[in-house]
Amino acid sequence: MAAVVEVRDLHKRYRARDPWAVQGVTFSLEPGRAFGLLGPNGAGKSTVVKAIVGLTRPDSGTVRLFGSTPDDQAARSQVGFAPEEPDFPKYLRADEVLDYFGQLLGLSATERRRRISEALDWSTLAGERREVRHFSKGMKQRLGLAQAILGRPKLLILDEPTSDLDPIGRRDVRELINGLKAQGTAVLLNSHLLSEVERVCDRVAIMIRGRILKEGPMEELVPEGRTLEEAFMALVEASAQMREPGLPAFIAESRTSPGGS
Amino acid sequence: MTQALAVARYTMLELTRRRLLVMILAFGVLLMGGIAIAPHVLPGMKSDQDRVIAMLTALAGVVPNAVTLCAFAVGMTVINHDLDSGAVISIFSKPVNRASYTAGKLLAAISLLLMIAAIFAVGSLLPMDRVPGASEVVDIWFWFAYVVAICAVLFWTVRRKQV
Repeated sequence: MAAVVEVRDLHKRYRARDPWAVQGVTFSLEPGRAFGLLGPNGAGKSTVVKAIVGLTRPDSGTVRLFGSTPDDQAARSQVGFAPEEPDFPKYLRADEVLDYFGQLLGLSATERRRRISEALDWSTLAGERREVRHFSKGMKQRLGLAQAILGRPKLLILDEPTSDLDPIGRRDVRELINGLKAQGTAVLLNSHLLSEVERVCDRVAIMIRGRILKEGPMEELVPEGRTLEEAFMALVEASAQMREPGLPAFIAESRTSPGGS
Repeated sequence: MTQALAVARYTMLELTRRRLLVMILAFGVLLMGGIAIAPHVLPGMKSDQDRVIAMLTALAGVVPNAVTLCAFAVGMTVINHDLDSGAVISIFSKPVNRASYTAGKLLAAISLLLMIAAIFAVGSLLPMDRVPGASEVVDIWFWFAYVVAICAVLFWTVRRKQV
């Protein structure tokens, strides 16, 4: 089956004197599959995602999107992207943002009307008349997801999609991912919420400091009787990249000092 | 082209909701109202010629400054807002190229400044019509119709009913 996205030996750093944000990342994703990109803060997950969407150019390596490059508008029109901490033109309302993005996607007026109504219903933002600047973080995240599915993408990229959502919102996103997978849409999920990743992803890659430490099917990475979180922590600790679990100095000192409780 | 027009339309819609711009515009229009009334109530205005000179002098001071302030407000907002808020990430994740985006932003800025200039032009022409002899210098009602038409077209473009 032809890969929807293929990343080969991707290298990226933002300034010459900075360390590599991403180095040698390689993976591919097939239709109807969900791929989880995991890692601690600063691991380079968002940089990989931005390179796939064409928001940043790699220093070396290749990204193939539907057999083309991320610069190809036809390829990009098949991608839905919900960024981390999504934001929108803040003086517009939710329906206006979706109409704007629908026009950028080249949808006809009839199609926009239908899809906007669907997306607003799904995101529970139908009837919301306030401008985006008055939205809560959760509402912005829902709008971010709504605009990502507006173009009926064949590749859906979700960067921390549930970080600001309540449990109901998380359940909705889980159902959305499973529904899209069943329709043949590939999903690239970048998340800290390992329990969410465990529930929806078929394959995962664990990244630390710009490199993929381990990649494979979920059942291969997570041994029987263990959770993804346990496997993740074990792997990260074994890489000696993580500090000892600790407390802020003022709490640790009060515990060790004679007068401390 | 369609993408540039979409960028332009929604940028204009956003700009018309900016409180700063509306306040500058309202302040400018109020000042012009004052300029229209002042020559008729101030002492020392003995003839129509005095009133025309006073009015033109005041308009020449107020209108360029108000338009310049509006231009600053529009220019500083038009792209910067998208960059500051991070909205540009969502926009560029869509199949839109940077040239279309820039063209759309530029089109919105120029159109809105045209509309603002038209509003000030109408504001300047109306008091002139009250002064005898001024209509011999300029066909006030032609220009009035012209600027109202510009405002109407731009306003209709922005406020067109959502799909």
